[in-house]
Amino acid sequence: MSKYDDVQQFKNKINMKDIDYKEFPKDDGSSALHRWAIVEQVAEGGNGISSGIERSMQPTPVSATEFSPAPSLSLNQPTQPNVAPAQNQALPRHVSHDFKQTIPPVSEPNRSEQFAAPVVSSAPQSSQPLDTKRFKKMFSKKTPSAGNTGRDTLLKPLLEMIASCR
Amino acid sequence: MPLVCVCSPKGGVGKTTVAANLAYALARSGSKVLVVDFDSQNALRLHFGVPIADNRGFVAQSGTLSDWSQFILKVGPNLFLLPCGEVTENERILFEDNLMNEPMFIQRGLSAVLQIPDMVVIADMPPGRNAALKAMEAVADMRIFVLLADTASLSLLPLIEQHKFMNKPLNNKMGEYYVVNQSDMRRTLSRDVTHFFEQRLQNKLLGTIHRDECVPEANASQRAIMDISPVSAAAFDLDQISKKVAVILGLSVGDGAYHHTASIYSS
Repeated sequence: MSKYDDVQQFKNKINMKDIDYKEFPKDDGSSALHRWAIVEQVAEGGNGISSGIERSMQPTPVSATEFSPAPSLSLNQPTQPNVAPAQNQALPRHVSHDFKQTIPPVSEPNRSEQFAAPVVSSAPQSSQPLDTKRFKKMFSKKTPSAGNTGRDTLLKPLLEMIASCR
Repeated sequence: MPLVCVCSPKGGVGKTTVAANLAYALARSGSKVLVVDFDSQNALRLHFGVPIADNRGFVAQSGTLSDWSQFILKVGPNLFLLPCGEVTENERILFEDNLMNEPMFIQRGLSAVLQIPDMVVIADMPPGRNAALKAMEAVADMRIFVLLADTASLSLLPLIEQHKFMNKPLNNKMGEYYVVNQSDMRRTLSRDVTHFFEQRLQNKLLGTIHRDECVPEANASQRAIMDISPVSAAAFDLDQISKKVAVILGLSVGDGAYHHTASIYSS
């Protein structure tokens, strides 16, 4: 009743009798709030990772194969084992390698000119994802026997070493 | 690898909204885009559907990791996001200290993505003068100043023009441009200030974004304005701005010719 009086007074005051007054239903307030993803998440305390927005709409971490169609190809790169391990300790495990795969071949001098800092120049050489057990094993074996791979090497360990390279 | 820096001497002018929707628009037109959040408010991620509770980001570990690309999130086929993440006060201070004192800090952290020739990197900067903006001076190819269509923003224009906001102009890069945000033609002051900006800035003005309710609605939905309201004034304005940015950056997608294929899966 009070609303009706208010509306009538308002109509009289502005001298417009033909206003089509419509009242917004009260009950729709709470349901309308939940249309907004941010509002819903805050209402739920911001704890639900998937609340408010569809799971399929949420961004995902870049996968290992995102920029690298054939990861096995990189195992054949001859320069990978020569990278000093200390330079790669802080590098990411997969993503920088993925980005590297999309870069067209650039000559080494150009790359070093573009990024003069010593740390940056080490970034493209990231081989950490490729340091599989097999790689480590292969090259750690080779080092101590490097000066002794001549005719004196026994045939059996030599064959085992060759077999492990596959 | 053009790097676009979205900045402003004032806060709350819509830098993050412009950066996010510019990234959406460029990605929609076919460019590969990475948008990076340098603002510790960590709000950019919310424009891309990252839940509030997800506080992953690169800043907390930026001092110990030489490459930040492992924190990149994939938003779409050619749209990527590097969130700032939640940081403690000490982590923030350390990040700013590195930005100020390590000359190649940003180049090193983004080296993996900066070497991709066709990747556009958009950096969303904190408001005002700050360490990230200072460090970005040597890296950015293009600066976009976001200003509101009001006298508070207008009064700061001389500061920008006289390079008192940024210490020096971009040396050999693509230059400085402006976006006027939330222009309302129904309001006399907003309209007059917008006209003043247009006359003063000429071709340095990338465009004017009209005040549009769909902008906060898109932000509340964690979606692009283009997705929420494709025929809105703001979506149109942002699309025009993105086209200008693409021209300035010299972005080209494909060879400009239409190639008919029976199926998208055919080789």
